[in-house]
Amino acid sequence: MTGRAGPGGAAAGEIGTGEIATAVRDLLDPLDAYELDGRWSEPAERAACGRLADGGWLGVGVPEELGGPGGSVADAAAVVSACAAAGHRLPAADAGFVAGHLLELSGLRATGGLLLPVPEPAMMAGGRVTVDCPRVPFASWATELLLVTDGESGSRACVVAASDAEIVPGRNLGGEPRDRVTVDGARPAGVSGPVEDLPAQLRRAGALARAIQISAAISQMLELTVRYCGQRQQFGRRLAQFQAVQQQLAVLAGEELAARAAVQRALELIGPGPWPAAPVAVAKARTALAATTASKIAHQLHGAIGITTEYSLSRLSRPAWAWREEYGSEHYWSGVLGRESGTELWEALTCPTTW
Amino acid sequence: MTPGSDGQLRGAVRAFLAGQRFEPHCHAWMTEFNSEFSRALGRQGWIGMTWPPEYGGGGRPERDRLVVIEELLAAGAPVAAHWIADRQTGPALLRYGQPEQCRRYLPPVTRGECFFAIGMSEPDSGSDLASIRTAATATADGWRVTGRKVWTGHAHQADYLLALVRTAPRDSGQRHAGLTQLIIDLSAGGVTVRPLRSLDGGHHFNEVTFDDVPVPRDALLGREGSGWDQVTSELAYERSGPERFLSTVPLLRELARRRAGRGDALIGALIAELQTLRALSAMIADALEGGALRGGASPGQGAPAREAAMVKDLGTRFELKVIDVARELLDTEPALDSPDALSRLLAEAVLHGPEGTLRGGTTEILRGIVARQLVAP
Repeated sequence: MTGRAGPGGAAAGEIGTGEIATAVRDLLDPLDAYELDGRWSEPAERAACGRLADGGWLGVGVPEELGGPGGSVADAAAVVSACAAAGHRLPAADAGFVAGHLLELSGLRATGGLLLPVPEPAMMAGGRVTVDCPRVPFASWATELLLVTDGESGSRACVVAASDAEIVPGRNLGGEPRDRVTVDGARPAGVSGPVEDLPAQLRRAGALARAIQISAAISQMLELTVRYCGQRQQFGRRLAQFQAVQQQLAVLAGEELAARAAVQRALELIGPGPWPAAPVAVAKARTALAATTASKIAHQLHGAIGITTEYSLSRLSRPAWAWREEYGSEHYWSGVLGRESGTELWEALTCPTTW
Repeated sequence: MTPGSDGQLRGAVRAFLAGQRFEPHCHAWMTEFNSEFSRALGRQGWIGMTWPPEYGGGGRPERDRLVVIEELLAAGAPVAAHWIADRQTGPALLRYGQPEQCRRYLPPVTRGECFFAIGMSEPDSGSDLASIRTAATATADGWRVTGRKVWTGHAHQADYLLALVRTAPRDSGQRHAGLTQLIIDLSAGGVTVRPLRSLDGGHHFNEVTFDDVPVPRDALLGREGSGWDQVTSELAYERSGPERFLSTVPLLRELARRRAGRGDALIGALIAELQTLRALSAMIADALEGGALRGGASPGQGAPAREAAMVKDLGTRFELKVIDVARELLDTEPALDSPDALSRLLAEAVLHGPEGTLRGGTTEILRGIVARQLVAP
């Protein structure tokens, strides 16, 4: 893979089905991290994470010249998408897609370990950083934490050893580690120069990463639901033969298509350098909306089997419910869109540089 | 990627629109028949702009057409006169017509001087199109047509009707056999056009009765008996275009001007859907242009047809959400006779509200199409 090439690389339209996604799925699918009763095994998942890292997939999106495996934004998106579709609980989105964007903008080097971004901005004073963030993705797995500051000296990125932070484990609805991180006046291992509005860029990268994950989860929900309705029989007929079921399947498919299009559109509109808010906002708002409708239908059509962790649907629906809120819900991002569109709405929406 | 990337053409359309005199309307592509406007648009080269130059077309890419029609729809411009021919009948002629037919019909269409209507539904055949009964009986030099078509938009102002008729008796084993497309001259003897008034009181739709109407041999489009395949191949164009989600955007634009900073999240939620629909519509236009039109699979089948059905379902529901948000944000009573643009546009959107999810395939039919392609029989 070459350096971070902005849009392009793997065709954005193939993020879920291209070569990278296939390779990651091939690696992950045999590494099941769930017990027979559906309980998640964190040690097994950590082993899967190690395999992903050994394969060079975990940090895809972190530029080569900054010590990462390289790969375009679209390549990074493909890895994120594959991990989400596989139903694994892995930090690929955060360590690759999000961290990659921040490192690229700041010029800070990757650490070689598991470097995970902290979503809330930190304060920097006298060369020391302080932050208290209640829900940091996979912080308990991290070797280093990637912080963005917005203090008086401008916004910067910096790296803090995980051992310099107090980390209290927590979980999101999908069971993924979302740990409280407290850093109290730690001296960073590395600090970038000032970068304009890094906290906003972090929020956008995080939101787009979650949009990619949601879209992938919905695609997999659709596949699972179509398969189930094609096999399950009641009243002597397959569920898929009932018109009432067919109508709901079609609505689910429509949401899947819309989510995929919103993500693809955003990936095509962002380039190298800082990302505009609007395409990200559209992607996060639309995928979060789709997640609600799609998961409702997928669960309804699956019936009772979907509500046990023994069955795999919840490995998609539960994280999707959490991802809706992370890095800003659809209501937050819709608010951004509403504000930025102003009074001349159509003129704003057709502006090619920012929308 | 988005149609927004062609700023120059978009700017040219806006400059043109600024010089035209019309009031913006919701659903104007269905309701506002204005031949003068169509002729002015034709002079710009914006009717049939993707068609070959030998037939008066502009030979331009599908993306350019998308920019132009997005701007026309968002402005609520009076485009109904040429809309059907530009979107549907023209491409059908190019795909199935004889060169003589293309030479005869298409150049005047691109000038805004010749208008087409579509004759598919009948009093007893709505969603079940294959059950139509309007019969064309063969004669020495063509057919004689007897029957009735309903919901034919602007048949009272159009020149021709592209009609789906039965040229062979119904065969219960082969429901889709024996159907044929004929171009019927609406000024022919035996054609009667009666208005079917819409909920806004306007005369947009008609019932067209054919009483032993003589139709010449050269009015046949494509092959006799292939009408079903030909008609369904038009559907991907018919269903994925931006008129399936921009019909109430004139209301949304007025709402944005008037909401005084209220309802950011409500407006933004509409924007997220709208931008996604625009991207989807463009993706399907590319797919139709790239695969389906260059000798690939028929656009009536496969992925573009399924995705077009989903765009229409999503898009027509979006159009209705604009009404909900307008009602939530501004306390405006809808009234067609109001001097206030917001009140009038809201009234139009409400009264035409039930049409979007019916015309061009009901939501239930569309979802059936999608589901059948998802689940192998």
